[in-house]
Amino acid sequence: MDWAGTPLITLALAAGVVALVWHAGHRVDRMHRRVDDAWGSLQLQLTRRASAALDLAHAGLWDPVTSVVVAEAARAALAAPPWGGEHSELSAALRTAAGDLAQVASDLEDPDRGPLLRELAGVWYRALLARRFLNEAVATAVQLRSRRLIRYLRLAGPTPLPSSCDIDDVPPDGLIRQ
Amino acid sequence: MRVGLVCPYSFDVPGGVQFHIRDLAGELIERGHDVSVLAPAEEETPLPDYVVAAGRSVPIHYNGSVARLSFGPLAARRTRRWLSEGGFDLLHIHEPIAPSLGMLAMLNAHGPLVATFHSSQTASRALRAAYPLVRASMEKIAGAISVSEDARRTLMDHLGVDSVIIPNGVHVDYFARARPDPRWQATADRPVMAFLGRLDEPRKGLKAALAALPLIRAVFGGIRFVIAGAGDAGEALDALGPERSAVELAGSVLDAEKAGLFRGCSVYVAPQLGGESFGIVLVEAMAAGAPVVASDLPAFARVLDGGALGRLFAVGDGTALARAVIATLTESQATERQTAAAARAVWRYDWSSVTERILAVYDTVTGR
Repeated sequence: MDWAGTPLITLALAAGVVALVWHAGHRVDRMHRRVDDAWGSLQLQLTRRASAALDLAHAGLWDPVTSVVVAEAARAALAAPPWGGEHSELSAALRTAAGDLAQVASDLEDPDRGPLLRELAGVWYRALLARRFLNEAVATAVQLRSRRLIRYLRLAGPTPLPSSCDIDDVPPDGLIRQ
Repeated sequence: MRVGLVCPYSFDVPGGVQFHIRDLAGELIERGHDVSVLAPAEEETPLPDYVVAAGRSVPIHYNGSVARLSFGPLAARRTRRWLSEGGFDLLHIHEPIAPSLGMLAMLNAHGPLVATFHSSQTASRALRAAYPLVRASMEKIAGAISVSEDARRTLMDHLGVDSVIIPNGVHVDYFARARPDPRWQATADRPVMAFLGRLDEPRKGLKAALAALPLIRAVFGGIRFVIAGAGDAGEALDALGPERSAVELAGSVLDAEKAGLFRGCSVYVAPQLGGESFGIVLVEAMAAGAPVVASDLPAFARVLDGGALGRLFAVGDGTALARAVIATLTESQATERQTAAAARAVWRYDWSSVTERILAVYDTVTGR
């Protein structure tokens, strides 16, 4: 047997392993960035939704009780992190305030309520998308980090395992045409 | 926003994905966005000025059709150059797992990435084959869109990726306001049954429609069966015998001719056997006010709201197709109710609302 090639083979194998590890580390970094970006986007869209809700509460289109409840829920949501239960409470308050399917359908066509409600619908849809995309990113990141190479070599570093966002963001019936 | 769109199939030949990308580009430009489309196309093909030709494509059997795909070192080089020179705020790739420009672009992409998945069912084998090669790159997709529930399920089952559904767009007004084409205008004693699709692709289901013809003719002797679409039907037409006189071949039609056909016909039949993920032509026919008879594929049943907006029949069953067509032509009140409901329902597929939803995805992905 000719052993002259051994160092070369060893070198090639080592280079292969380094490349493999580097690639895996790069993927983990990229997924962490995607999860961070998705949280940022969700935060932005939820803040916009809360602002749109506050505008509606201040427009004098609802009875005073409804307006006060929605305004309070919106203010709490504005101060809350994107995973906060305050957003779920705002969703529930808005569903009650908006009424049933027929009410929403006629309000969307109303010259006063229509524009504000459509504004809310637009930012709400973006918040729904942002949460869907975030949770998809989280699921992919968790799956990636469960791979043996990444676990054993601790390629994820000290970054905690990301968790999904489970707020209630179900819109009022008929507000968003899916 | 500067948006880069990637089309996997050649602009040299028409197709659903190409039309979708062309119309989306138009809508985005109309709203003040800066758009560049990378697509396979010959140098000589006249293209809109926002399209960058990535060179010649090769016809390959893919997903039950012949698709013109672009690949190889030249396509890879052009894709990389388009990406690096484009300076895009966002990249929107269509069919990123079709072995063409979409996959090349995804492998080389940096920055915010949106992907739209068009195909369903039959693409699964191709999907599985491609997956190990592109799994790492798929992690770059920050916003995945499917054009239908069926496309979404395919993506979920085979690649484990969840996506939001945004249907393909239709210019509803264009079809609703088109003038009936006098060549194919139905009259009381000469109703017109229309079919649209390639003649030489078995999955378009022309065979079932031809099998139904004698039964329909027994009731409506004056029926005209107008077949619009490229390709050679081969022996299927010669085998018809006396029914051949009821068949008229319109060849491949332009958009305006298609709208004129739908506006004037008595019934549009969609006998596809499978591989349909959405059914854009059904929506176009509905927008034009044509009664629709379609095979009960999941995608078609969804567009027709389970049969409330048109009639469904068992896939590939010529007798059932004939019965549905005869019912459409005889039960005129029920048919009118369906077409009126259909004309209202199609607005959710109008480009105005589809573009807004796609822009919402862009905003979410870019964090705007």
